[in-house]
Amino acid sequence: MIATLSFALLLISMIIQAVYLFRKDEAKDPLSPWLALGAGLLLLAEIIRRSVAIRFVALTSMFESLLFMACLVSFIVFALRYSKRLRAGRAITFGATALPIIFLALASSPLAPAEMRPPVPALQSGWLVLHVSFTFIGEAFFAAGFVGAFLQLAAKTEEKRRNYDRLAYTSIAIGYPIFTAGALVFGAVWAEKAWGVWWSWDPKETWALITWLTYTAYLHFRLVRKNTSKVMPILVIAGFIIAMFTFFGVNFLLSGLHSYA
Amino acid sequence: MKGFSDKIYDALRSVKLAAALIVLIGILAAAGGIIPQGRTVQFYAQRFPGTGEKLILALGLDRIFTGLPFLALASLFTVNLTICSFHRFASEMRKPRANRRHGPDLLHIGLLIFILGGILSSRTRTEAFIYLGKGQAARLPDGALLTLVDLREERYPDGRPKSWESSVVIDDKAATSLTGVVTPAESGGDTLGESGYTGEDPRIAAGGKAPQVPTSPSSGGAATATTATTVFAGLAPKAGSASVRSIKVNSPLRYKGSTIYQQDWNSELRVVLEDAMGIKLRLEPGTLAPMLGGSVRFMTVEKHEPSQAGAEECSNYKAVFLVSTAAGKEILRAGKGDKVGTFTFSSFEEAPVSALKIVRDKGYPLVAAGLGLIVLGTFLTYIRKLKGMFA
Repeated sequence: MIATLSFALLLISMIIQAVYLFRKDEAKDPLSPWLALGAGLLLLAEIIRRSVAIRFVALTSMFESLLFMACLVSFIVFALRYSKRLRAGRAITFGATALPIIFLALASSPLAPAEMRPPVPALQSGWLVLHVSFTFIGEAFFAAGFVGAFLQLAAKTEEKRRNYDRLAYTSIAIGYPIFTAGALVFGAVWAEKAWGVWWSWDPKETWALITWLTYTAYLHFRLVRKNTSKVMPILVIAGFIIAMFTFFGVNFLLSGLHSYA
Repeated sequence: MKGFSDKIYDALRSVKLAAALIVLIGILAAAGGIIPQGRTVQFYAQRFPGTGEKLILALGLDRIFTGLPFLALASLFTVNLTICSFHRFASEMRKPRANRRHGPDLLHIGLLIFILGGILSSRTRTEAFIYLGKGQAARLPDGALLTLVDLREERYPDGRPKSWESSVVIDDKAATSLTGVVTPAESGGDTLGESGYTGEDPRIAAGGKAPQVPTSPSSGGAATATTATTVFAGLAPKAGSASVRSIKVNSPLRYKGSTIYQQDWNSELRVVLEDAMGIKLRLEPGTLAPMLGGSVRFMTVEKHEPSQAGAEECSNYKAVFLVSTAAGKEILRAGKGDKVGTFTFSSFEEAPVSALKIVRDKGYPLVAAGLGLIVLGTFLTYIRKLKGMFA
């Protein structure tokens, strides 16, 4: 119910933004970021409600992960509008608003059962909570970077390309350390505590490493190539596609230790 | 004019080389992420029939992460990272203190320590699995005796596991606790059980000797399954010699360089034998009971996995025993009520067992330190971006 309400708020936010996209002036609507923030807060409330019900942080199923991801990206949509550093344009916030809508649509599908189930012993770990939450926070910034990189490739003027590149880089630079800590380091620490092995080349682990390598390559390419090169936005887009494959695709296509998440 | 060695040095420390190596390692990792690793030839023949299977096996794509191309790239990356870290750190130190940025240095040094830890771990790590019922014990690699004094399992109303907890006592003065042991030689020279009839879980019955947990090195990060020989029952340590410690999933027990993990939880069938006095004796698979003039060892349940069948369902199954007497050894298949040596086979009984994994890994501190530095380094590198987001 709460997830549906959030979905509706985000949809209204997107419709309002779409209307403003076609305006010739640079005016930004005052309502849509607040609707996104409201959706994010509702989703956060739902995650807290579920956490209370199962007596553990509700981040242990695909449905809960999607809710959390949608919640984070909703907050980033709000931040994109009000962060002076990011100075995101209308197209960026419009594109970023589409992502939580997609996540919530996926959460409503049969692929992500919504039933509340307390975690099995292997999942009852503070390291798991850190692992999952940091990974998704990092990926939420990667999502903003993905939208920026996508628009960078589509931009027709050099000024716009530079603006989108700056936004993509800033998003990746913020998301990268958070993702590194969450996906790789906290994940490895949890694996060591739970299974006695830091790394086991499980498909999910391997694909998380590939995601990290892609963004690492991007950050290194930035040191040696001009920021107008098309290689960089392509790497950012590829990184996010790989991150989403790691999130969804691996669960359904490749079996491994992470089959529950 | 730069000399040849300078050119090599510049090439090896270049960011371009680092970026290229990262991409190549990523491509190989992607192949390893798509193609299942370390499976049998039959698996690949079935999954990738024809050319696919031949290509995978010929190119070593079934073991990418331990293959030469991946290791060569990883080695070159390590060289690049080492030289780059040294060069960068030296450059930073020449700057005024206020302008120095050591985040990338910490990140790179953390990665190097992590790689060193990984190499040390792959060379020195040993793993062993032991399956203990309540009251059973096994020797740890350092000679101490680990006894399972209790095991508790909780389940949610829907039947899924909620918690597994083993309570153990580790007695490093265990040699003095084991009084009146019966060695295999004393029990009729029966040593078959040391390797086991089924090769799965050989044990020695009450009062038996507790041999060392056999450990084996793990390779390529894959767990190496090894069962341990254990002691059955009656081995409570002497008062004051050791305290009870808990092992839970996600909460392993660290003891003198070994880490003991709660790996699994299961139940197994044991047999109940009755002697002429009506005294009941319980035996797990592989355990031995001394009798007048010899011994009886319970080997296995015929044709069925003991752990997968309940005691009731198994009531018509045959238990396989090795009966050793002065006249020789005899394999005996017995049903309920049959005579087994001087005993009568009374019934099957189901008993919970705790699966513990014992790991010794000298690379642990380096890997942990490396991971810590990686986190610290990445955050220090990009902290300005984090700080400036809402500036």
